[in-house]
Amino acid sequence: MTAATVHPDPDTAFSSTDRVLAAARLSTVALRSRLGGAWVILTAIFVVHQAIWWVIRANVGAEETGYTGALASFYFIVASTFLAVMTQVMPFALSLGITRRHFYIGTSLLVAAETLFSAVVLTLLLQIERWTGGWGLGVQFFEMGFIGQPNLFLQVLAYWVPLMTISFLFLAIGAVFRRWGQTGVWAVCIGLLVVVAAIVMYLTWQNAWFSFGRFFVETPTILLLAGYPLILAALSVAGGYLVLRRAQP
Amino acid sequence: MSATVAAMHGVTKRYSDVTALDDVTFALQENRIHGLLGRNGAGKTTAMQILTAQNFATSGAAEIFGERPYENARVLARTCFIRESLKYPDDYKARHVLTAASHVYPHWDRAFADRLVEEFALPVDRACKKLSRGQHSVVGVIIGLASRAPLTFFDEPYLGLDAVARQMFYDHLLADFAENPRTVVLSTHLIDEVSDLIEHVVLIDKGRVLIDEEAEALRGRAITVTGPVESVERFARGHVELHREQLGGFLRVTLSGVQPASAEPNLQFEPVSLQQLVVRTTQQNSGARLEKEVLS
Repeated sequence: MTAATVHPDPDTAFSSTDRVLAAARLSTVALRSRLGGAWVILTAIFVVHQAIWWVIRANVGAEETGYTGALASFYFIVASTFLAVMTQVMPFALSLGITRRHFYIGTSLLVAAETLFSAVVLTLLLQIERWTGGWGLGVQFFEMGFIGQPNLFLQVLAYWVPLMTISFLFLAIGAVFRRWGQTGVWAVCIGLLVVVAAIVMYLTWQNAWFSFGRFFVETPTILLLAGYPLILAALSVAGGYLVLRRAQP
Repeated sequence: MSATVAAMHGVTKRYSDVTALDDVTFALQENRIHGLLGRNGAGKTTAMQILTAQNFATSGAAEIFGERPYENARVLARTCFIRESLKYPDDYKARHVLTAASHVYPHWDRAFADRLVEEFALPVDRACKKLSRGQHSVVGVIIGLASRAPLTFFDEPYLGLDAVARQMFYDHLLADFAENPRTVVLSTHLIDEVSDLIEHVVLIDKGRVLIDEEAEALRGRAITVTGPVESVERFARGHVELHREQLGGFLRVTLSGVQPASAEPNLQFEPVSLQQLVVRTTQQNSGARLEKEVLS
């Protein structure tokens, strides 16, 4: 009768690398619509941005170099695509017999690779912006007034690390959604709000706003962009994994 | 000799106010088609989720291929779980979903998947969120069949499929199963449609296992006896009665574990279909519970 138990077939070669790659490829099959979509939106923002500046220049005349933080929206657009990966692809992955761990590692590697790609493209666009004197209008879209670095390597890092950090943070929020649903996401948002409020109260109470501001002025931008955010990135990756470990699709 | 591919040992799953599974124990054998039957909310999906570590048991243990499934890639890699309620990523087209699945399974049969796409007329370039209920089910059916996973779960995979498409699914399942034997678990309400397909039946009701037997043994398990009230009453005495209905002077009872008696000329004996047996057994279970509750 049922004397024997079937054990995993040792013949079928099995490696964690294969599983991690398969997990990542669950999200690359529609790469064109996901990553491409983010770039299409950025293009639209860029065109509208430059058009508005063109009108301003035409009416007010050329003044000093203009810039806005419009590029920042791109960071959140890219990150939100990974939020969707966590909330929508993860249940599919588990149905196909992929473990939470392999899904998380595969997706995290994908986040790192995709944001690096975007950082390189942003760096190239920044070079064009510089060569053309702000797209012929004296308007910095990719520079945002502060993000420029002395060499290309640091420049890529300056784009890459914040983009990756926000994406990891959104991935972790997606994991919270998968584990605790909408309630969990609200709880995290309220928790973050409380932390920010506590910091604001503390700085006000200690009259520390001046030194707070001085820290940002005196610290090299590369540390602000590509140094300290790594702490947040590491916390997000670790926290997201701990949350996802017991999540249900 | 049969070998166990998946098993539950005294698994209980409690949510805050509901007990979804209550001390459930059963085993699934290698290279067979199992029917996991039961009403809505009986605990079928929960059982399959616990076997694939998508859900966690409150107590007891589940195992597949002799190991705990939780985060165990070695055994989970050999499973495929097609859920009726599974949503595919919103912006994926049907072909994205199939391509993604093909990367996961080493034994994925591309030609077979293509043939199924054609036969079921699946619009592969349509976004998943725009597929009809039936087309959505077809995507799952194709993944479940073409993945050739050694342990495949189909949880009501036919929603929105018409009778013809459902028959195509059963035919393909049986034909492919014959060529590539594997362990299949089919959870369904449409018992009549699959009764020729399934070799082993696990019936769950209100979180408890009512039947765990070979389908062949179950087919001869119960009979209905029809005839004049008195004769039927006399015959039925001392046997387990699953159901009774009376029409005027005639009585029809469903009895379990009885052989037809040829010496009774005014009694009619009919075999009970698997579906009837399942329905009657489930009803009897509810009735027994009701009685117990009334008495206590």
